[in-house]
Amino acid sequence: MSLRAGPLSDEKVIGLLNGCFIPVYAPYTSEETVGVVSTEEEKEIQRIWGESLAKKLGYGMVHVYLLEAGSGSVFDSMGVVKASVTNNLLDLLNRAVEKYKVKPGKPLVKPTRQVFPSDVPPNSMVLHLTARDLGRPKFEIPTVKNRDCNVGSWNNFASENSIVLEKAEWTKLLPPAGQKTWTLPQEVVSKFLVYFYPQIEANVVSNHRVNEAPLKASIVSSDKDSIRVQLEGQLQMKRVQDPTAVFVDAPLVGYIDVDPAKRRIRSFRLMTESGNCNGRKFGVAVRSVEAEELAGKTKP
Amino acid sequence: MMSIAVFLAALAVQEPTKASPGDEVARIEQWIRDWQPTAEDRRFEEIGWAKDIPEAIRLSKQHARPIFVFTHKGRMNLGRQ
Repeated sequence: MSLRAGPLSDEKVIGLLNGCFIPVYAPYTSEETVGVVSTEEEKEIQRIWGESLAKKLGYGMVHVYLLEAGSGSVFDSMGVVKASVTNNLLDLLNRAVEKYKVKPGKPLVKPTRQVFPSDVPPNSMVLHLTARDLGRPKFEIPTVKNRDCNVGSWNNFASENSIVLEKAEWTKLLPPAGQKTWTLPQEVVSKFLVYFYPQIEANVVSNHRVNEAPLKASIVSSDKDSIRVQLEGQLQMKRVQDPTAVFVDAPLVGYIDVDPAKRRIRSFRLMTESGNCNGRKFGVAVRSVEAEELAGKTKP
Repeated sequence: MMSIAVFLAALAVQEPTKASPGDEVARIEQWIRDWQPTAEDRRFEEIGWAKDIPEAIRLSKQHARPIFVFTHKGRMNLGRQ
C-alpha cells in the first residue's frame, strides 16, 4: 500500500506508466482475496514469480516486475521497499524505456474508478462505502514531493468498498406494509456493516460477525410521492477468532428515501461519525450510487 | 435576582433541542459528502490499469509496450489489506 500512497500517486510515475507501459496490479490469492483472483491470473502470477527467480532478477510476493512487450517474459524487477522510493521506481521505469526505445503515447486503457465492480446484475443497488480514521480526514500530498525517500503509508488514504445488493435484497429494506417502525433484516444489513472498520492489516472480512438487529427504521414523513425512513442503531461487531471481544463499536444514523409508486429506493445514506475499533476512532460513510456514476459519466 | 438565577439554572439543565428530521437529513448528507475520498486519495486511479495480466499481455502484443506488474497482498484498489 505504501506504493499506492507514494510512487503510484506521483505525477512523473503516473505519466511514465500511462505513456510507455501497460500497467497492471495483481493481488495474489490469500485469505483476504478469496474469490477475487481468477485461476488464469493466479497462474500468470506464479509464472512471473518463478521466471524472475530462475533468471535471478529478484523475487518477492509484494514486488514490481517488468515484462517484455509481446512475449510477457520478465526482464527486471524491484522489491516493494525499494520501489516505494519514487526515484528508485523512476530509475527502473526509465531504464526499461531506454532499453526498449519505447515511444511515449497515450494510455492504452482509459483510467477509471477502481472500486466499482465491472459487472453488476440488473436491478441491483450499489452502495459505496468510505472509511477512514478520525483525525486523519484528508490525504494531502505535499505540492513538492520528496522522491528520495519513502513518503507514503498504507493508512494515508481512505478505504473504499462497493457492496452490490440484488433486487431480492434491497427490496427487504423497503417499509413493510402497515408498519411505521421495524428492524432491518440482519442478512441484508450485514452485507454492508461488515465493512465498518478502518484500514487495518491482516484482516479477513469473512470473519466479521454483526450483532443482532443493529439497525432500526422508522417512517418520519410520507406522502404519495415519497417516503422518508430514518435509520438508527448501534453496531457491535466481533470476529470469529475472538468471539467474546468487541472488535468494532459504532453508533449508526442514516435515512432511506423511497419512491412509493415504483417501490424502489431513491437514496440510501448511512454513517458513523464516532466508530471505535480496538481504540482507534474512525468514521464511515455509505451512499447509494447512481447508474451514471457506475458508468463513469459523473463524479460523486 | 434569585428568580433570574433559578431561571438560568433551569436553562442549564435542559436537554439540547433535538434536530428536526429535515435538519438531521441535511447534516447526514453534508457529512457523507465531506467524507468521500479526495482527489489525492484517488491519484492512482489516474493510471490506466489493465483489468488483469492476460489482458495486459494481449495489449502489449498489439502495441509493443512493456508491462508493469505489481503483485501484492490484499486489495490495493480498495485500500484494504
